[in-house]
Amino acid sequence: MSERMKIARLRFLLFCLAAILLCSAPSIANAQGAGTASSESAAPTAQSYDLSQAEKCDQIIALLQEQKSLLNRELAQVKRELAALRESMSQPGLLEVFAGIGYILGFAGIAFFVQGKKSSKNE
Amino acid sequence: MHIADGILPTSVAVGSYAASLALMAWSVKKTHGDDLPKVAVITSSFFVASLVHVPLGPTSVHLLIPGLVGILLGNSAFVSIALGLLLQSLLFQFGGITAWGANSLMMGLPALCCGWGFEHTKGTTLFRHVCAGAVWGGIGVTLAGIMLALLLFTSGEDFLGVAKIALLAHLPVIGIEAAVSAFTVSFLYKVKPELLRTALNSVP
Repeated sequence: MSERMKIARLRFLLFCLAAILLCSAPSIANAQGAGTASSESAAPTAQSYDLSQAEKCDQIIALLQEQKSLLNRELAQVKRELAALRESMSQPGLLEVFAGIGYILGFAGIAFFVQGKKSSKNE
Repeated sequence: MHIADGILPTSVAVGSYAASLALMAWSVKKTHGDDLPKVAVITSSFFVASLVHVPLGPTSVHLLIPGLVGILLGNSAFVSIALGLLLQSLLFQFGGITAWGANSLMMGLPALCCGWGFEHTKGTTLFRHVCAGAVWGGIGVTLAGIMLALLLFTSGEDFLGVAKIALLAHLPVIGIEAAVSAFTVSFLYKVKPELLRTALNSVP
């Protein structure tokens, strides 16, 4: 009697361990879940409880992954838009063009001034 | 075709600054006072020309016109190009400010070469003028590409590889610039030939 109890307890502990593993790693879970389901039949209540828990975990993980991929897609789109915006912002506009032409004409004016001074001195 | 900040080693950047400043002083000295309006207008054109983007397949290229500047300005071309590039790097962020010397050499030396070449090959007829304009307009970009490869070679790049890429990328630009130069030269020859004749007019 006590030995059966011991075995049952051991099995229960094993199930708990398997359940934890199932929750933490869904990829491992499938392989391990299949193994435990075939080998264990003596404690049906514990098994069904663990399996339902594992299923819930799987569902939650699947939902999370779905959401994550959705978010990733949206984030990529936002990043693309940001890059396009930065690109269009870095393009020089009309203001810069006229500023540059103004500078050039200003320098030409200075050169004229210097030249005028020189020629007036010569006279 | 601009070199950005931090690509060239410090010694090359400083050296090219010194060379550019010396060439600029020489160029200013060679500029005749009566040519100043022409220099100012062509500098403005050079400054703005880099904004003329020509869509080409997946990318777009822009005009450089070192050849045309050289043809029209002769010895004054260097000061024009150096000033245009300075303003471009300050206002448009085209090329780094620390690489200004290298960029000026890259565009200015081909311009001077084209000016001298055009002066000696232009002949007297319209046809000769147009041919020389087209050839030297194209050579300007080619020389600029070779200069770019030479300058990048000092930063440890593979010379032939860079030269090949730069020239291949600018092959259409060479064609476009040759056409633009030929058109400009033919127009000026008909309308105001003095502009072409005084290209190398220098004050002693």
